Amino acid sequence: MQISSTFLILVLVVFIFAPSIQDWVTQGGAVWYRPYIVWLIVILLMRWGVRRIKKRTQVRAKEEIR
Amino acid sequence: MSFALYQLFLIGAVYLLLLFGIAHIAERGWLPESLIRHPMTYVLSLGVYAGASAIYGVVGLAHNYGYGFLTYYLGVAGVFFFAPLLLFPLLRIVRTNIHSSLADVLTFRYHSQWAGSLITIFMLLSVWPLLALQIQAVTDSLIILSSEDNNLYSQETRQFELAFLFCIALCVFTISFGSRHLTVHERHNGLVMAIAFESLVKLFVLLVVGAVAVFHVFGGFDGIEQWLLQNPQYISKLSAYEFEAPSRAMLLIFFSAAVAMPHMFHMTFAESPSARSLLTASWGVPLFLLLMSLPVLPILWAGIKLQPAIPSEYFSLGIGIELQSGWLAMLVFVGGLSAASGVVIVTTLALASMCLKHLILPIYRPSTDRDIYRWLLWIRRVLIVFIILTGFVFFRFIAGRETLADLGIAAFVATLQFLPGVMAALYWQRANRIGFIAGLITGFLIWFVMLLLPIVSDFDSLVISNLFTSMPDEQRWSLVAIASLAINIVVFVMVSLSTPMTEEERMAAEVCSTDDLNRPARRVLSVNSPAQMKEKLSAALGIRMAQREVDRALSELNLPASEQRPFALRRLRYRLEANLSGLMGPAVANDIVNRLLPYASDLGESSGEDINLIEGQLESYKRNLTGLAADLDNLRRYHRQTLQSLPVGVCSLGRDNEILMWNDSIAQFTGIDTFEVVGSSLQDLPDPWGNELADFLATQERHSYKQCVEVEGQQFWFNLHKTLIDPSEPNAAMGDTSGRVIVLEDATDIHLLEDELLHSERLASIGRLAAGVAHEIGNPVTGIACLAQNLRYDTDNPSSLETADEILVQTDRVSKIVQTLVNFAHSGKGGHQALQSVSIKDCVDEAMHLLRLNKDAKPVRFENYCDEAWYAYADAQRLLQVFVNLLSNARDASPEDSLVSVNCQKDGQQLLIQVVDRGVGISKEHQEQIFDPFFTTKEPGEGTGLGLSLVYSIVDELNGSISVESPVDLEYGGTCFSIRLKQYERHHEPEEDTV
Repeated sequence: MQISSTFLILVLVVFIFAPSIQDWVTQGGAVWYRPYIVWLIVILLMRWGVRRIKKRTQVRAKEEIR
Repeated sequence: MSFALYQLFLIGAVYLLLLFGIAHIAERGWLPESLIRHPMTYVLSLGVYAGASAIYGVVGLAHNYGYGFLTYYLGVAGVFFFAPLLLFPLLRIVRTNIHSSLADVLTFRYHSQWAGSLITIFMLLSVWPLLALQIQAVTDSLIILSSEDNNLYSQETRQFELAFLFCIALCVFTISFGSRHLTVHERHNGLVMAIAFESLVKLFVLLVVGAVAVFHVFGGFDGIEQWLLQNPQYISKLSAYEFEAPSRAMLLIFFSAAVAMPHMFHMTFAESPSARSLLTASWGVPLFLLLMSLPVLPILWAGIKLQPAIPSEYFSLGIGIELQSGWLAMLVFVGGLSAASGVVIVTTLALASMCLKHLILPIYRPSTDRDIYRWLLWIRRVLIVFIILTGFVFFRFIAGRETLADLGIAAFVATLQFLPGVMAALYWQRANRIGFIAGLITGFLIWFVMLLLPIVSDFDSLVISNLFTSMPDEQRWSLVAIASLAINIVVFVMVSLSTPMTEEERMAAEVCSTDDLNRPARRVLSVNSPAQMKEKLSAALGIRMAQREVDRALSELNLPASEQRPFALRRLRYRLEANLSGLMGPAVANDIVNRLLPYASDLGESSGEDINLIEGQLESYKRNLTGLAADLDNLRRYHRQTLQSLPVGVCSLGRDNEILMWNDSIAQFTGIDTFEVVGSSLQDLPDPWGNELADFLATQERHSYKQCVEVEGQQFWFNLHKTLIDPSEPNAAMGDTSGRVIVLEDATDIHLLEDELLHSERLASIGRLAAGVAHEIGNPVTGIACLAQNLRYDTDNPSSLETADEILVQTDRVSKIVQTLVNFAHSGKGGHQALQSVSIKDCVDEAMHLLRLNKDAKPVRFENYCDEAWYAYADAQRLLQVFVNLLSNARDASPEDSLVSVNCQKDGQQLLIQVVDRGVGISKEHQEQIFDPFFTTKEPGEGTGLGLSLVYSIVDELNGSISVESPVDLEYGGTCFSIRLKQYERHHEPEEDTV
């Protein structure tokens, strides 16, 4: 089984910071939308990552055509 | 505020008709394909996950579990965030093998029809609570909106008739747009567009209700904050400690729902337009779910503030009622209807396909006399009706004893039991079918007893759970979820490790494994043409279906109907199995193909791996290779390219003489394209190559030189060499080897050069012979001539004088012939003659002058068109000899008074001199021989056949070349001799050069 090292590091970071993030999210008091902020940041990161993958794929495809 | 039932019915009917309309125009192709296949359309269609629970039930979840309700969204969002771990590998398997459901994938992976059938039965059981939830949500919303007292959950007020009508409408819709025609790829444009539209409606409805809650009920975000500060108990309840355990369980069950729920699997994989769309979905679906979840807490708090007399599950509906806003309530009703109908339609469609492939077809296969496509279609339609109506019966049977959340959790916990099987299929090759089935049955039994039985009967599962936990009753389900999954996994692992795997299972495990490629064995089929495949398959599929499926597979692979290559036939077999799997399920398809298109038994597994197929897979997989794997692949491609571009022909063969490699050079030598020949048997090569190479392979010799091969009337010569690919194999010496290589060198040019050398040697021999003969004949002839002279002086007898004169004429002729022979013999040996500048025009003039002196010769018009400026490096006397010979021949071949011309022009560093006549011309076969000594077409006694040989020798000696072209003109004929000589540049000092 081959798992990307970047992914493993990401899991490690999430594992380490999960309790702190959970505390911060749930102790927001009247700022009830804190979980959504974290969620949105993750979505934006994903979007950025996907764009990079798509660009890289396009560049490779063009190189192959050449 | 209440609505009349007929109003609600009409609005519901209009909305469903609108869905029909959207699906219809998409199905008809009236919407652009770019819109239907757009990644965002795909993302919206995945919003099918948000069923009636997302409109109603999730507010109840937020009320009961605080932030725990977010797991309903985050579980699925997590699967899409980590798409490379779960979704992409599954998509690869689904697309390669044309699967359409989880049962297909797991049946294929565990190579067991039992696995598929069990999954389908358990899925049916799991889906009943889900279908009941959707129907209950719609009917409850009808009751709430139509009754004054909001009397829920009673047999008296429940609108069973309307619920039944709702089910019938969904049956019609599902059949119309999910089962209109039978396709191998389960993609339905109409369905995708309709579900995407439904998702938009759901999102719009929730956002509007959320906005009303925030701005109308609370007067803005500040109002919410104020209200929360005044009611801190609701803030603290959001993250209460006691919700942690059920929240973790919910995260797990909603995570597994993304792949285990039939409607999610169907929309994610079967309706996926491309892998790129799934990439977009990896952030698009979480974003959609975020937007769906954003209004939930404001709706909950608005509901608490307004205190409607309905359960928290229906607060989104209650806000409109409490605010006396008919349009808002109606909007929520439409949103709920939209969400419920989407789930029911897609779930039923997916489940009907599973039931057909894994419950009906393994037991009963239709007769080949009937149209199987039509039969499959009708059975699927019957199953759609059956599933929806059993869902209705289940709903009627439980009669509202459960909340929406209870029903949802029961369904989701059931599908959680498939998760170990899915993960093991991707990441654990040792997992086997016995372990999977054992774990699945164990997990389902626990679920059935602890969660389903209490719903459908009076059985109290708390009696059992009390033995293990003291958790609050309403949270016991989380313990059941975790315990059933844990026991499922333990049984799965233990049984898998203690029971053996079959060979087929091992191969399927390799195919499904994320870091492995399909490595099929290269085996020979028992059939050797697509026509035979059709004939064989017709025994199970009928003639029409067999023909259609084989033709479809041929077309998808771009193969001709006359294809006979073993490699191509194997690919055709794989494709046929995959296509049939799409129609009839993997187990049935595998059974049909193995039974009717078996491999030839005598070759077994020993023919080695299908290298071409593996290479093809690597080519399509290369973008996914990283690090060391990518480097190794680059190395492979480099070596492959080296072999492919070698200037000698290379052909590698498998054990069964199947051609595995055919490089560019051998393709060029033989004129057989690489694509046409790879994968075919050596004996099937067109003549003469098949026999030639097979004969060479059969000999003991490792090298064979100068094999003459005649192709299209032209002869070629080749050197052949052969070797074993792996000489270290144990039985290599006996010929039992995994492969051989034949190297083919083109020796045609070398052979022709050798021939030319022999020819030159022959000419040289003739020259030496001529010199000897001339010397030996010259002396007696001179003696005869002297004696004839003497005779003339010694006699006055007229008769004797005439005889002497005749002798002198004949000896003169012999002398001339001898002199010509001597000249020929000496040509090519004048190494010490100096080359100097020679005026072409003067030389040609002199030659013409000499020829004009012979008054007895045929009168022709000599014209010299050469410019005075052209000078060549030559010997004037010998060049004169060349022109005399050529012009003389031209005169002999030309009709009287015709033109014989000479012209000269510059051609690079050379002069091109052309002697052109309008004579009869020289035939093609004679053109090849005219420069040979003693070759003449003149009458005997008129020519020696040495003139043009002499010309050739002299020109060659002058470092020039001569060629002939005939006819010059298609109408007038004629011959043109072209001589190329090195040009002398007059501004230079003349160089002395010797040859």
